[in-house]
Amino acid sequence: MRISTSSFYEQSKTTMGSLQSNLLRVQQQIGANSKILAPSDDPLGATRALTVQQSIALNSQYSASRSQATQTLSLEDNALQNVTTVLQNVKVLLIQAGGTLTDADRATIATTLQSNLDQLQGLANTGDSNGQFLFAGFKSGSAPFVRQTDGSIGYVGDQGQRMTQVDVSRQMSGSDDGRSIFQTVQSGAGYVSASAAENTGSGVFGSTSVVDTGNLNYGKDFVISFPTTTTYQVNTVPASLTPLVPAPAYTPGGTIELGGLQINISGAPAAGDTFSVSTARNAGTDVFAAVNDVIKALKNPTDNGGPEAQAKVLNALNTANRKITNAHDNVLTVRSSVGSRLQELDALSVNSDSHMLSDKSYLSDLQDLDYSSAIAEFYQRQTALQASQQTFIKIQHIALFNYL
Amino acid sequence: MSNNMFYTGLSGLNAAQAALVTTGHNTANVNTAGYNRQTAQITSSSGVYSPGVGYSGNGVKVTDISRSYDQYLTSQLNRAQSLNQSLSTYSTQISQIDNLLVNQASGLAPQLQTLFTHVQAVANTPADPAARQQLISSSQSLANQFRSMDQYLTSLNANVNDQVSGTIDQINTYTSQIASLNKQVAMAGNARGGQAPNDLLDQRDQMVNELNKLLGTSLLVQDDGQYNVFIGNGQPLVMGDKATKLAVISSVKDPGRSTPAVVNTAGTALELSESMVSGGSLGGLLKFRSETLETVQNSLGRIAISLANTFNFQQKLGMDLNGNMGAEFFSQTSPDVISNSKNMAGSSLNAEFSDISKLTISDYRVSVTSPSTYVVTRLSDNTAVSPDLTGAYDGVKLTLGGAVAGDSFLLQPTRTGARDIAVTLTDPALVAAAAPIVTGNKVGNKGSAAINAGRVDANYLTAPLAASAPVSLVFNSVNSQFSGFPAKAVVTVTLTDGTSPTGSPYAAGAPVPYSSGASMTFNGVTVAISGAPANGDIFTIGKNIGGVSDGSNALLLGALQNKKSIANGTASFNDAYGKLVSTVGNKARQVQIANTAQTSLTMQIKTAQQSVSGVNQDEETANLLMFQQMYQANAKVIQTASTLFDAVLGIIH
Repeated sequence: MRISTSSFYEQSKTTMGSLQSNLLRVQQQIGANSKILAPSDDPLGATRALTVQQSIALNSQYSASRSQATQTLSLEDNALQNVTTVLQNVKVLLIQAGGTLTDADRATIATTLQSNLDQLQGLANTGDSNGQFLFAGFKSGSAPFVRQTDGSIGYVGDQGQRMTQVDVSRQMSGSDDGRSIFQTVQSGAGYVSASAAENTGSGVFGSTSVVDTGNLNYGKDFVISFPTTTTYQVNTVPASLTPLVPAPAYTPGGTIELGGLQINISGAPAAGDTFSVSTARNAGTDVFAAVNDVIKALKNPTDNGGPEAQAKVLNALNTANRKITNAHDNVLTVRSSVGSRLQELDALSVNSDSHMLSDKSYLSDLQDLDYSSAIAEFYQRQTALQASQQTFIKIQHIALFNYL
Repeated sequence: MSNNMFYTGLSGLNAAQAALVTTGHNTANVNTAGYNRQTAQITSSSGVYSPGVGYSGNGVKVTDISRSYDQYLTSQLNRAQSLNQSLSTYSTQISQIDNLLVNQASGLAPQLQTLFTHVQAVANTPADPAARQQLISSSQSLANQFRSMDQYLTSLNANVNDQVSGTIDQINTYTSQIASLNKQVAMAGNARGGQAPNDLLDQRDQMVNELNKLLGTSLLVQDDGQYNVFIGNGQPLVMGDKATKLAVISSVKDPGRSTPAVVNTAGTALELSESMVSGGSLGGLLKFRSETLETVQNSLGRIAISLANTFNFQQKLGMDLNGNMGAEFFSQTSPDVISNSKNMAGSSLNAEFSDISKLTISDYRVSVTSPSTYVVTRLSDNTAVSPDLTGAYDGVKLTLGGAVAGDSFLLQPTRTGARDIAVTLTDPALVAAAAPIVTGNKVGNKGSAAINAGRVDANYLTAPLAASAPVSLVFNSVNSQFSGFPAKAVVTVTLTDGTSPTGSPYAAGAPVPYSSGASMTFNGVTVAISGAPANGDIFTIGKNIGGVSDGSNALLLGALQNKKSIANGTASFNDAYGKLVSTVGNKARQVQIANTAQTSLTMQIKTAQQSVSGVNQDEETANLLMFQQMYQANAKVIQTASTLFDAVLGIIH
């Protein structure tokens, strides 16, 4: 075939040009450490890389949320641990106050209880790292537990659940509201007994025990009333027409049966005295109120009041003891739920870390350069270009004119 | 006899000279584009008859200087180069978008991810002003990214417009030169009795070749050798010595597009249908514009519109730090309508979005058939769109005003989406991170039932809860019903299995039977109570007051990242962007491959054509030596004749 001089030059130029651009491409890939310099290099890979990148971004989003949740939950766990300690202290103090003590001793205990109550309030108003109150629900801008004018402590937060997106389809509450910690009892919480404030006798109730959960009236509230000093009646609340136990004779220290429960009352109740035995929910679930009530009772002087005044204090201590125990159980329950949430977060993190790892290695497969093959390719193309340049120089030297 | 020998030698000298000149001409034009190698055609002169001797030779003559030209190969080369140019122009243009989309650090995908990371951060710590500020900043940089990508595409469009107009100027130059060369060729051919004016022909062929690199044409050779050049289905560009002028005008359908037009004899520019223009860099440009540039701009616009719309919608359902319902977060565009410049004065078409999820990335033509009726054609597949139940066309509602039959409009629902997105919210406190409602139970509830956090929908905005009037749902265990729903509020119940109980929706004021976990919807609020409520238990749904730590609505905003809110609920923002990247990537790759193939094909044809027509320097050098020797030999013949004559003279002396 006849080769025209200009097409020889043109073809040589084109060949060298394309070899050069190929070489440059490999060099760019090496420089960028990426197979994909533009979507056109690998449209499918580029699109998949986008999806994987989104998945990685989501994962790190969830991981940040998990850290946040872990942080607030740990804070809550810490606060609840302190709450448990305070409640245990309170219980020890209540037992101390039940001993033979003078008014002055009891007043001292009342003062200690008061400082425990203040401590409890402080813990209930724990703040997080952002200066937001941890147990306020959504209303975290202001302290959730505030002292009312009557001296009681009320909850002004709300019951909003602060949810955090900790995984694709898992939202977790990163804290609990104050009401469910300090003003709630578990459904299985024990019966709370109390003597009426107007009682004048020296009747003191003992502990309540459950004997028959199958009883028809089990689970209801009861009231034990003494129409006379020697007989008593048991009725449900609200009262049914016929009393549960009509009018048996009262034996001090004897056992009284009521709707599957047993309670014993000792001392000498006066006619008209009543004792209530209520489910924990109906007895008032506020731990602050319980402590507050017992402080008030302890402050009443009893030294000159005889067994009746003593009975009042003992009964108040009994009631408080039961309520604090219920509250303590509730805090422990919340704390264990915090613990299981923290555990779940750990499990999610482990899971997500392995997910992240596989995503990252997939992404690397999709776009990262295989250096050894790229460098091999680089040398191959370099050699091709050099060969092409050398042959060009050699051939273009051959001309008839050189021999004239 | 010796006289004859002088002439024979002389003719040889002349022929050698002509051949040498031709060889010199070839050598001189070794690198001239479009030059066809010339050859002096040398023929022996007819002999002279001498009686008894027969015919004796009478030397040589040059009959013609011919060029080595192959019409078939040349037109094949023209076609190949035209297509090659079209593809390489397309490839150059699309690679600019290809490169735009790849940037991982500043591309759209990472910005989208950053936005949602910051939404999640607000959900985690809604009371933290820094998190809110971060969200606003990242949304601003996302909006900037949309706008700068759109600006880039718009500048590409302007660039295409410039190139179209520059190309058409060049086309006009070539066509007028071809016309004038036609004239010269005809004149030269007539005057010289049929001998071709080779170099003029070369020039003209070269012009045709250059013209084809700009625009695919077809060529018809007239009997007298003049070229007629056509485009498309026979629109003439050159007829003999007349060239039709092309002009650049703003398309009547879309003033933003410069498009080629033909200037008729009256001097009016008539828009050329783009289907007439194929091949050459002009064809490549127009194809790039309609096939890729506009699609990319529309796709980006659609993502921007969906993002702004869905984000705003959810933001408006939430509550900001000041306790107000959320305000618009992003500013939103409206569909772009361009009136045909030939429309009746005062005719207008108003378009607004009705359902963002139904938007396509196509443009539409609205042709008015009567003052109140029109036909909407989707341009991507050229099919008529029928309105849906709400009267909207692919998610756009249209209202016609003052139009008459024959008017038409170009509707570009998504074209301006990326251009017009901006963040209107600047105060971090106005990010609606909280839900507008908060639920709870009364202290002293005896049952174990609990109310969920609840959610609100768009209906809530018409009757939001007043701070002073929370809703208290009271349970009555006797007939297992809840009462206390707001007066005048109809309650719709959906059971946990997704069915509605008989009786739902319940009339305003009527109690609602309790079913654990069933969702109850009234005034745009949906709540569910589950568990075992006791008689008299109260659950409250109130306005969220002071709920600074509530990130519920931010969680819902965050959920938009994975929500399939584009293309009839088939694609999330990232999916739609991925689709765009893959469309552009595939197209760019396809064009690149086609271009590479076409380049090598063109190279082959060019080599074949050059093999016939090109100059080979060695060949010419050999010819030079050959004709030099011919010249010298013929001079020797004359010398010999002279010697012979001298010999005769010497006899006389």
